[in-house]
Amino acid sequence: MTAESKNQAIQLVVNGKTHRAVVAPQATLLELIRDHLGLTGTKEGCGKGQCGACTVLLDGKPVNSCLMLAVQAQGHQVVTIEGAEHEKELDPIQQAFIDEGAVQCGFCTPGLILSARALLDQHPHPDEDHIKEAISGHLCRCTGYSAIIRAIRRAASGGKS
Amino acid sequence: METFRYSVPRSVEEALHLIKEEGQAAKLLAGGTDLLVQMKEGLFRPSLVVDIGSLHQLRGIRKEEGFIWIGPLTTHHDLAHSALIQRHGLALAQGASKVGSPQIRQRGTLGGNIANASPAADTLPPLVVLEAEVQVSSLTGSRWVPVESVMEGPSQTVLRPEELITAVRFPVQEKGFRSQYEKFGSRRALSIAVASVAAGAYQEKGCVKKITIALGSVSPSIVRASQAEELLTGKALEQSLIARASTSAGQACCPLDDVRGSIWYRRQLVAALLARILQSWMNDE
Ligand SMILES: Cc1cc2nc3c(=O)[nH]c(=O)nc-3n(C[C@H](O)[C@H](O)[C@H](O)COP(=O)(O)OP(=O)(O)OC[C@H]3O[C@@H](n4cnc5c(N)ncnc54)[C@H](O)[C@@H]3O)c2cc1C
Ligand code: FES
Ligand code: FES
Repeated sequence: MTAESKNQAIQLVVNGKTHRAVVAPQATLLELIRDHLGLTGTKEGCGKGQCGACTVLLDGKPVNSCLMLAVQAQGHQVVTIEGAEHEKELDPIQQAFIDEGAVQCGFCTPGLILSARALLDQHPHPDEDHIKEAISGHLCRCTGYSAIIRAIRRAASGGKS
Repeated sequence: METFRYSVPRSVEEALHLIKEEGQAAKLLAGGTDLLVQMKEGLFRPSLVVDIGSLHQLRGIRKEEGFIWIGPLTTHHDLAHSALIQRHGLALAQGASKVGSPQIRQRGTLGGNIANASPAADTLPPLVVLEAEVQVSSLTGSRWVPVESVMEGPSQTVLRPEELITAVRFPVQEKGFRSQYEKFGSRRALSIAVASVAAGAYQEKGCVKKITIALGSVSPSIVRASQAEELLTGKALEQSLIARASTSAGQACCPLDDVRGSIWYRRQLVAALLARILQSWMNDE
């Protein structure tokens, strides 16, 4: 495809569902997710890759949706926080965040849960260093991180603290 | 971000045609982790963005003909996890593993890191000590440029607007070669280096046969610590030599004096980082 027209027609899979959209070339993936698809669980903090609030999974891997053009997601699989639960059941990581009190204002939470999901998919039993590394692209202004780390550890050990 | 025309070339050749026709006003897009920030800040307002991200032939790592070949679209994540890179160019795996955050490493590429030409780029000092070269291609052919000569200053390279980085390679070194990268930033993740040091050396029975030391983030470009290299060559590593060489490396750089650190501070850092590398090698002997 060497389309040079202004708006671009793209197709991508978001939370398991195929979507078609026509987007401006300069629209970010974050704008597509929030403004076109109405999935507002994904947050915009800094818009520059620093805070991780906009993190989504692209083909299972965490990326900053503020630093991707929507057109770059053409043909890819995207999971947002709205796609984390399974058949109305919370993901064990979501439940563990609740159980450990790892959510205060909640602005960082969607991104963190997705990074944690990607981690546990790769390493079901991560050690503390793995966990810290996996969440190092996220800023949380409220919790001081300890509860978040505990929550991820809890989810990894099947919900036990 | 201002609008632009957007193209997805299907081949390297097509990409080269596109950037040739558009000239200065075109921008190549790989992972976008530098370019999108720069476009959001209004530093670049390209009329055409050429998305090379799906040129799979420009991605991947292989060992062939005595070289490790790396496609420019290889991500920092893949470099950091590659057994070939860990084995033959550990400093590069370490540099890649220290870029930004997991999310940035997932998208950011080696070619983008080189072309963006930041003095703080974490892959550049490692590539210099591995004696890496960059293949630069245009419609009229291609040439190999040593990484050391690619960068001319902050955001400045020898690349012409019609040129594309199509490969990066470094020689598979003989037994006895080792390399290491140390970075100091204000925190562990998501911080740009205040100073960084890469070293690559051949050692034989504890004696340094040959050593290359490259410093990042302390000068408008990557610099070699030539005096320290000379001091160390032909000698066995021991405490007082390490101390002298490290101090010399600190002096040899012509550091940046900016918000991230003063000249004095950066000299101390360079010395400490080099000492850390040499110390660990000495202890391994
Ligand atoms: C939050 C954040 C933290 C960061 N932290 C670090 C860090 O710690 N260390 C570090 O080194 N970097 C860091 N970076 C910078 C960036 O992630 C890296 O430089 C990355 O490698 C750029 O690669 P890219 O594929 O995203 O490049 P892009 O943004 O796609 O491109 C960068 C530039 O290179 C050009 N280009 C890309 N590919 C080619 C090619 N094959 N041939 C010719 N030109 C090309 C583009 O036209 C553009 O000018 C950070 C960035 C962000 C946003
Ligand atoms: S909004 Fe994307 S990283 Fe902050
Ligand atoms: S809970 Fe408020 S930013 Fe993390």
